[in-house]
Amino acid sequence: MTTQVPHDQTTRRLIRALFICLVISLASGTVQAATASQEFERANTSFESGNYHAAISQYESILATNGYSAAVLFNLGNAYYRDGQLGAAILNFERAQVLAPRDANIELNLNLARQKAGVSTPKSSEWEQWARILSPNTLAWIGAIALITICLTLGLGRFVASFSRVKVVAAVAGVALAGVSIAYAIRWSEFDRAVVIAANAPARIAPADTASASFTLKAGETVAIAKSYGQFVLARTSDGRSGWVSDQEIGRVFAPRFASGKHGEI
Amino acid sequence: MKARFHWLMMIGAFIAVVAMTSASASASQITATLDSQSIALGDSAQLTVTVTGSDAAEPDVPAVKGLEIAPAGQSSSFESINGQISSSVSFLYQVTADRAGVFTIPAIQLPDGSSSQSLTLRVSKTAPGAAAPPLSTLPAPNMQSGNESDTADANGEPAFLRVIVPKQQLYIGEVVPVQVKAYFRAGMAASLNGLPTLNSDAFTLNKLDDKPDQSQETVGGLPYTVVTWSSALSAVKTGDYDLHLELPVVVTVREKGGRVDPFKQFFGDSGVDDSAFDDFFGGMTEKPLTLQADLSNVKVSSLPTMDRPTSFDGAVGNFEVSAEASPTKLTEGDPITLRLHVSGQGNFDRVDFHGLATSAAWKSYSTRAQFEPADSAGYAGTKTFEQAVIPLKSGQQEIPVMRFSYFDPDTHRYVTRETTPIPIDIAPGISASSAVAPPAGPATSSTRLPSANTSMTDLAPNKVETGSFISTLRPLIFAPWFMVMQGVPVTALIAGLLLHRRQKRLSQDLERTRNRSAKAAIREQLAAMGQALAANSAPAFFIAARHVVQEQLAERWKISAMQVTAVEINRRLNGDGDDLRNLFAVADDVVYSGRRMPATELQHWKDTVMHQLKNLEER
Repeated sequence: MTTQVPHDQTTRRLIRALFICLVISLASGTVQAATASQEFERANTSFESGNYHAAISQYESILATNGYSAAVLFNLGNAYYRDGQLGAAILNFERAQVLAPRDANIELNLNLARQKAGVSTPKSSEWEQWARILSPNTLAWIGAIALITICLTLGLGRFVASFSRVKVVAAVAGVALAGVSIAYAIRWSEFDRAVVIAANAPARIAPADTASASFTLKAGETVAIAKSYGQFVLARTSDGRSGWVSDQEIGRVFAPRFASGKHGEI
Repeated sequence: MKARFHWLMMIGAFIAVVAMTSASASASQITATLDSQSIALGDSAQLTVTVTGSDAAEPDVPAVKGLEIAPAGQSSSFESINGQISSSVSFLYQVTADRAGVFTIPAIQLPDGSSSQSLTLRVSKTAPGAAAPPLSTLPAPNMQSGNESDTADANGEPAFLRVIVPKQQLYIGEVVPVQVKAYFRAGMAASLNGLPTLNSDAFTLNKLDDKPDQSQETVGGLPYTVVTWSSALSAVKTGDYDLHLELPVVVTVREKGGRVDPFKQFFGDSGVDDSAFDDFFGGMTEKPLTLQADLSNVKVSSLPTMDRPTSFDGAVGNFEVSAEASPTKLTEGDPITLRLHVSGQGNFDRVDFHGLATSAAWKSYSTRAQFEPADSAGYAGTKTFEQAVIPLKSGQQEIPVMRFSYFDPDTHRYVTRETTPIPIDIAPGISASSAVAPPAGPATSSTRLPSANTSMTDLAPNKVETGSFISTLRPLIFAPWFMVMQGVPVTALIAGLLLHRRQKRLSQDLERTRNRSAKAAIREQLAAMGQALAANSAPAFFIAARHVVQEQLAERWKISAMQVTAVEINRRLNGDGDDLRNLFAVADDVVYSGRRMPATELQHWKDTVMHQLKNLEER
């Protein structure tokens, strides 16, 4: 009996510590969200007053602190557009579209920026358009849930009285998982998509500043990144040309995380 | 010694000049000219054979019966026009006749096969009264011809300018191709001091190319290097006007008695009398000139008002129109990019196309134009107008016919072209209203939507709420934790299935089941032995001890535990199981008599049982 008292006390202390951590975490998240919201309003005010440089800096600060948001990326794209940096504008509209693929305003502004930059919209088949209805992460979660459902139904289904219903659920989950897999297969190549930020970015024959340029890329042009070497990436255009481009002159659409001033990591 | 060195230097320089000429030339050209086409008997004419861009090999001048053609030296020259360097070597011959008559000097050939034109020399017994008619392929520049400009006299000037337009009656807004040609006598060095300029407010000249074409022409029997700019001229004011162009140039001409010695400039004064070279090269001097060309009485008319279509917007020329839309299958409210192409020849600055008008079925935005010239002058090409339109109705819709009118100056009438209708398949969608309608109330939505009169050139407005954040744009499937998470249910499923299969297999193994139950019974009875020992209960102890031995031997002999008796033990162990038989006997005695035993004795029996169990397991 005497040994159980400290055990109970330890348990209570542990629960209390966990509760405090949870509260602190929630409070921190709330404060961070409130801060981001205030910064967002300030950036929007800078934008409205025509101070696009300040707006760009403020939007990028929000992204660096909080991560990516479709709304912040969209407004950042607008700011770059107004500032005449069409490559960066197109990049951020494309990123916003990754998170909100059905947003008509993003589509509208992306098309406007491409028109103004004189670059064509990458052609996509009807299958690709279907595969892009949902964001990649939404597709991933649907696939994960479908997989768990299949495992549960196969593993525990035999213990349920109405096994035929379980089979139906498993079949639906299987169809969903197959659909997600097909969508990912169709979209697989776009995960290496990047947008040229710099105007007339030279595509060099070797990954070195001293290498001669075989052709130049327009700001806003969409390319696929085949591989990287040091500060250079091997960019391939839609018409099959390829050349080494400095990673300062290009931004990956599906960037790992936002780095201020670098348009995301390559 | 010093004089000899100077001579060697000069010869070396000459060879270098010839070598450079050879290296820079891509193809040889040869021209032959006479300084006079009519001479009196006893006089001489100078034949100049100029070889441009080739080895300075002396041409093979054919013999002409009645003429004596004697070499009189040679000279070389470099020309630099717009940074392009060309070189030539001129071979001079003195031509004298031994009788009067008309002589033809045949074409003069170079070793590489190129040849000059043939020449005619008229030799009279008396001095010629008038110049022979020109043999040029073009009229002399001072002779006005058609729509070419009046020019300086080529016979007296080393250079002159021409402007050539296809016609002199224009309509306001009409664009015509124009050629501006600057002529320079072959063998003369010339450089341009700028581009031709137009001095008139009634016309505009499109941008001239910094790299004009160069060619050779013969004018008035003389070879000329011609620099040609091709551009487009447009009329901006009605009335009769003169077209006047100027071109500043610097020409280098030979002057007697004033030679600038390039070798002396280059190598310094050697102190040697080289008057022989003075005679050979002659003197050269630079002379700035402003070449002028005039085209008089160019009439510019206003466009007729009769039969002017309502869709006419000022375009003058000859055009075709076409339209395309993308996408043609979409959801209501999604934007369509409409591209309208106007291609042809004419004044594209005046080509405007308003595109599709807003209607009940379509919301249209302003157009954006882009011109792709098909020639350097910008006279021909395609102007593309891009317009964003948004369908307001779902179903099978059609982008209607659009009209474009222009005035054709060749046929002197207005022409209207139409685009073909474009079918559009529009699926109903909720985004239609949100994309075009103004917000119904205060900005509670995360987006301030564009108002109905927002121009398409304006962006859709900013969002006012940040929405949710995500740490990376890389899809979740690339995150290791996500992939591990997918492995958990799969692994659990596989493990569960394997476990279930194993249990099923084990349940079907009778011997194993019996073995497991025997061991369980042994563990149970051993525990009972321990409890009986602790309670010092001899009957309970021996009952449990006997059961332990029975279970152990029964499992070993594959018989029932009840069949294990002292007799069976004696039979199977052939007298080796004395301790076990004693255990059974003492057990019977204690159980039936209720005899009590000290704990030490019970402990002894327990050790005996455990020892026997061990022995049985090892056998």
